[in-house]
Amino acid sequence: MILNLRKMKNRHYIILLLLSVFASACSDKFINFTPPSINSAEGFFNTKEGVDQAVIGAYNGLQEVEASNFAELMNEERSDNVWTPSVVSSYNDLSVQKFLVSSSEPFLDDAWSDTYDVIHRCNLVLENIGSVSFSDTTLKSQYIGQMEFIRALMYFDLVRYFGGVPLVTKSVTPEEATKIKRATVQETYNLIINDLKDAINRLPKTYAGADIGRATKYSAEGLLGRVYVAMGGYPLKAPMWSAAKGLFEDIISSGQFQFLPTYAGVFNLANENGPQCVFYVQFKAGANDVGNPIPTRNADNDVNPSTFPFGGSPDAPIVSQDLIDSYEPGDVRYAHDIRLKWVNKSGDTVSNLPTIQKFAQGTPAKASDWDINWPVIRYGDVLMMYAECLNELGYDPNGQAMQILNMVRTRAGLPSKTPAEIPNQQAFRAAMEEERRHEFVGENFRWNDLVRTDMAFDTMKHFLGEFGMGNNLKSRDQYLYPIPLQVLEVNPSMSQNPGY
Amino acid sequence: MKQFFYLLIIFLLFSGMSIAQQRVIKGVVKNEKGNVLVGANVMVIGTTNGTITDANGGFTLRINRDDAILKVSYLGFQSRDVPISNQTFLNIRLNSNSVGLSEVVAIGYGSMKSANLTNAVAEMKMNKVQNRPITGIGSALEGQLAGVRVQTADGGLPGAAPSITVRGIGSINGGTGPLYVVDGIPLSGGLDNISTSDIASIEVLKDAASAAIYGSRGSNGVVLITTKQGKEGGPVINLNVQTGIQEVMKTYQVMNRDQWIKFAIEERTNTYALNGGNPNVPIQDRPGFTAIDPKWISDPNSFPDNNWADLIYRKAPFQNYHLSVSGGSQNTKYYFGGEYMNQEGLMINSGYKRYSLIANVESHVNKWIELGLNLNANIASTTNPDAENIGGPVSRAVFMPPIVGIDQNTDATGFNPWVLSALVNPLQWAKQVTDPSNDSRLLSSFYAQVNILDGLNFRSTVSAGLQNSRDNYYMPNSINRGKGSLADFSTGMTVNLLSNNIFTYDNTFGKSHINAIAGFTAQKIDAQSNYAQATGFPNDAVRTLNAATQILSATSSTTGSRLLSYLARAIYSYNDRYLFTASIRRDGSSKFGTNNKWGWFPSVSAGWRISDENFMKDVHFINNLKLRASYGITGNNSFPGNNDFPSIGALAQANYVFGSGLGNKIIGLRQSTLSNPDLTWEKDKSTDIGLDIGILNNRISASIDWYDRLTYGLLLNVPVPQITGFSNAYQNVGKVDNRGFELELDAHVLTGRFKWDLGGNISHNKNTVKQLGPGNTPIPGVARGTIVSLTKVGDPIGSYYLIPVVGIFQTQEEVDTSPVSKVENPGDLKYKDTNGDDVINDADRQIVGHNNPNYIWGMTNSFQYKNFTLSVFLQGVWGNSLVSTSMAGEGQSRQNNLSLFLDRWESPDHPGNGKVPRAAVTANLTTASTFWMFNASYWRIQNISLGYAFPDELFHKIKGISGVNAYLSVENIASFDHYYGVPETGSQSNDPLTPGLDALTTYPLARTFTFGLNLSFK
Repeated sequence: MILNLRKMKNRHYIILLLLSVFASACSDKFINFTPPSINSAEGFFNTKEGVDQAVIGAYNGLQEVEASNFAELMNEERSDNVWTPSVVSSYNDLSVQKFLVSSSEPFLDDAWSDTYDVIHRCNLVLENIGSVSFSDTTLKSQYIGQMEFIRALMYFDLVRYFGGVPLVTKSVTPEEATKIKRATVQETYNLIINDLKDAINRLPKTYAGADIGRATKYSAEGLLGRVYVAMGGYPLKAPMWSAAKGLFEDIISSGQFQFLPTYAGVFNLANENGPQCVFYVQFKAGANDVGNPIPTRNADNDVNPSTFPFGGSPDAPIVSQDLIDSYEPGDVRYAHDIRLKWVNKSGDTVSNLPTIQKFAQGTPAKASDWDINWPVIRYGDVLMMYAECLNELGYDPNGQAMQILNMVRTRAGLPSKTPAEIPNQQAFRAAMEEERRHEFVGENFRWNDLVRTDMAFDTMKHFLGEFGMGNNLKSRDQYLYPIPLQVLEVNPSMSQNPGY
Repeated sequence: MKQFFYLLIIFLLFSGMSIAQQRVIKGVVKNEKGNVLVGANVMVIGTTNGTITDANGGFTLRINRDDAILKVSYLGFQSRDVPISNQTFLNIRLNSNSVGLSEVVAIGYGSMKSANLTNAVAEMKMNKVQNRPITGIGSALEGQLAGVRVQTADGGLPGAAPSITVRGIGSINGGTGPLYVVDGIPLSGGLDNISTSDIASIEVLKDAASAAIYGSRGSNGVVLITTKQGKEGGPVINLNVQTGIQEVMKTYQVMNRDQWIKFAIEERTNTYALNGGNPNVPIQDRPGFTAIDPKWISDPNSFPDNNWADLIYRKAPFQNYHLSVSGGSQNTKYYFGGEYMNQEGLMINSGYKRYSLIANVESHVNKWIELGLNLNANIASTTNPDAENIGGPVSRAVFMPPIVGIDQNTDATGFNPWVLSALVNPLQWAKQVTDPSNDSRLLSSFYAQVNILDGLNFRSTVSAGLQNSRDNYYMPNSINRGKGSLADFSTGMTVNLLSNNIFTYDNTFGKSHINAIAGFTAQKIDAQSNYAQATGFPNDAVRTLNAATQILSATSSTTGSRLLSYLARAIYSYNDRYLFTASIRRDGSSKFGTNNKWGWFPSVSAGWRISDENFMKDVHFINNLKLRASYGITGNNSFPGNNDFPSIGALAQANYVFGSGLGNKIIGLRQSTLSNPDLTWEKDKSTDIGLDIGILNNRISASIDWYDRLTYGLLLNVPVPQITGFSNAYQNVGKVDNRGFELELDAHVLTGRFKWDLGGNISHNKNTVKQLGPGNTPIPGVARGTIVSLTKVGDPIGSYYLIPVVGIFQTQEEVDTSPVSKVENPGDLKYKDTNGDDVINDADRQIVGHNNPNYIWGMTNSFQYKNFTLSVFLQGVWGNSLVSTSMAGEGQSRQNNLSLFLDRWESPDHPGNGKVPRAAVTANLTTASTFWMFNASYWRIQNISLGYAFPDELFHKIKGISGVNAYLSVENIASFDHYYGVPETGSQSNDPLTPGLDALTTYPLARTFTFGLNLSFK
């Protein structure tokens, strides 16, 4: 067709043609453009596949919360196990060790928000799973149990860091959240106990194949036992020893677990998910984003990469002289757990800055990418908590409690303690506490053990005093951390802990 | 180059000479009413021969050629070129030219007479920057327009675009930069790499009324860039050559060897004592970095005294060649341009190179149809050894102690045991780290215009923009401190397709004039990015990923947006005296939440030219007086992090491991952002009242604007209670107000043979946060692990929130009787107990400053005598602060420090300047305090240039040459400020929430000496 452009008529046709071409583009369809690279949460939790992946997402949170920077700072570095002299190449202010923590410190915010993030992941599953149809109803129930277990573990962390916290058991909008006040310590423990009791009913005793590593009935029993033990101490001092004892006995009598014959075996990669594991956070090296960062974190920043692959980190805690001095001669755990000497980047051997090495097993795929799983509850701890319960229920110089203590000592290469050396309940408590210090060094137990036994004030006062900082510890208010400044600023319903 | 200078001298000598055959011509110059004009300029074109009319408007000139042409000019009148031929007396009339009545400005989807503007539109005169070594449009705008802030946050980093804000910061988390429109095409991202020599004009739409025609993208202002078009005649060939040399104008000043050794001994002794060390332990045996090398005391001269800045910075050449050819017939016009620019960086191995090409052709095919094509292609390549990395060479040139060997402190050469091993040798870094990047852009558009009726036309434009970027970063194992060689490779591609369809109607009915447009546009932007990181290179020779043995990560992602718009505007004027404009736009965007896809953006404005009223007839000294008022609503659709889908609750991978033994990785997901289907654009409503005034035939002209810009529904990443599982969520809450005034002034101070023109602008802006998220919760800004800023109602966005320092503790008694924060000793900073609770803690923080200047100004003085032009450009800002996070000084003598530590407290007898604390690694310093804050006001002699226009008579025999100009220019001559680095810094963060943070990583500013030559051929 040849258009005679000189004719008005044809010009109008052209315009109409142009308009019709463009008008066809002009509809809502044009702007309803879906994101090519974004996975939308819309409807995701309402399908079985969604729930499957969301459950894994909740477990993923454990990696960020349990084997984390803040967990080691708040549980291990707070205690007398660690003293990082401020002259090492660390940028840390180390206010945690010096008991100079202020509410604006970022690690507090990490602890608070990362932990609630995991709680939210559990809540999303728990509130949606009811309407999702599962052909396998047992699996559905197990998922509920697993989420309750993880949520309980999170609240247990929170209540020990911060005291009573806001209890959130379903997803809430930001507006709703500002109206939620802190619960009491007791109320927080009630939620933990309820979750764990329900989880115990729902979870299986074991998993097979590709599901190994999920929380079992015994994981939940072990955690509930630990919760009861904690409740028996400071601050609640609510004796729950019998209930705890029953739970531990259920685990012990299951026959599923074993107190490994050597201490090194507990950390040997060959024994990953072995019979010492009641509940571990799972890691894997070389898989991009699921490796354990702790062994790298625990090595000094100046460590030579040729002797320690990919080097260390500026956050490495330095083992205190107090801990070094506390080991009895012959304790195999001393050499196993403490990196007494290491080679720095200049090639010199450094022997005055010991670090923790117990998890540095195998070789990392890159920095902060190790295979080793992180122990939350290992069988040795179940036995030792059981022994504590027995002692609290009544001192017995030749009883099971004493046997367990000596079993641990024997494995560590130490002579057994006699009833003469531990003549009463109080002495047993002290001996057990000292044994726990060495058995669990670097496992983020020490500070909480000191607090629940209420030994923290005197122990740390003395410890800080060695550095002229005894006065930094002012009262038992410092058993808890301050509520993070950012939390207080965002939520008018929140209140600060006393002493901060 | 030498030869050119000889030529220049020869020409200068000859220029005074005259050639025979002289005769005299007389004449008189009058205005259109027949009144004589006194002091009008009469020049023989192409010569220095000229005079000024006398009290009777008369003039007498000696001329030597009958084909001479006189240029007659008078302020406020249109100049005329008058051929002499064989006349002896000339009667010349000039027509008045009040406020450049005929001057036309672009206003978006059209243009209008600037005299009839009712909005706040600022126009950039491109001739102001033509003699400067400008590498980009952004730096061309610096200091030129009232209300436009150009901040070179990356100092002099080659190829780095400055950040530009118009009338204050109107967004906290969304974009704060204006929309850029090149020849009618809204760009998808930032500034294009178009050569400034190819730009005909830049207009900035400042108020909401003018920007509302760009709807949901208009609230941060709109920068309209119009490239050059051909003119009838020609061809005109223009060659512009610039060559120059750059040197460091300003970088951080640090301690030299002897100063550092003294500092180190003092610091280590103090730190050792502070940590309870036993003074009897020999100094070299003390732990870690409290140990002192005895040789520092016994033989300090045996150590190197390296000035790292001198080692990594150099004098670097700059060159720019631009060639254009333009012309056309009555029906077809063309403009072709090409440019090559090569700017080597001040730091070794850094630089910026750009090639650009432009072709603009327009043709009236016949009476009804007009076709046009614009093509603009450019390739910019940058090399940069990761200069501004927090551990990179700019920073390490500050922190690396002078005693470290020139080869020391890499993994291959070993680390100096007396300094922090985290410090990598800046010279080796600059030599070995490479990051070549490449940015290629093509902007093309084609239009067809149909002239339907007289005054009515329809223009349809289709345009395609392509942007391709590529970046290949490589860090050798040796610089990566033995953690393996590391390479990053990333590419990005953006496709921007646009269809504009606009009807324009323009007609005059008696005294009424109407201009109206209506139309619709559709824009589609798709972007893809790819990224891969690898390690395990056998050596450093091949640095691309093919040589790597292990891929650490590889990813790609695709995003995009769609925007559909309907727009209309009507401009009505009666008798050029009463002026009205109204516009409306409706935008639908894929970026917004499902509940809020569409929005309206209206505007109205009016103007009244008072000077044309009868009652002003007798006020002779005022020749122009116009009052303007405007109101409009615009939007900001640029979401944080260029997120195109912020309303969607996104899932992110959250993987785990299950299975016996070491287990296997299992893919899991978690929700990473809260979803919000209500999320929509930020809205901006602003009012502008302006007055344009011209006095004494526009010898002095000025524009004054007052504005109030309220942005509401701010896209805030509101901190939400963390118990929701999220720390932040985007919501349309919050308001911020920018209120201020602007003054632009142009004065022809001296006219006649010695001319002095003065152009200046000053603007004041006050930024105030009016509303924030739930409960108006302030938003803290964190840097270096501590809060440094707070955005709260009543203060500017990102105000610095620090504990005030009142001085230095002089005695132990003073420490004992004062509230302290941590562990304090004499010589430490003394903090103010602002809340009087006898404890220093976070509760003592106060809002102590902000990064928004109270005033921004620029001033150009240009002087012309005969063929010489001298231009002096000054610019500055006033009334803002910056925060240097490195003042935390955690490292002290494990590293070097700024020379300000020379004024430190040493003892009660040597208290220093009373502001700088003693040398010690102590928690006292790491408290975020006003010790970290500096006054960021500055003013600068930005440019002085001297130009010479060679007289035509020198060249009229050389066929083809029609004009020769030469100039010398010096950029960044001197800076007057209060900081130890570049005061407009923001290299660590220039986020609105944490603005103006320096981590001593800002690339130095360059002082550039340029020689330029401009040749025109006909």
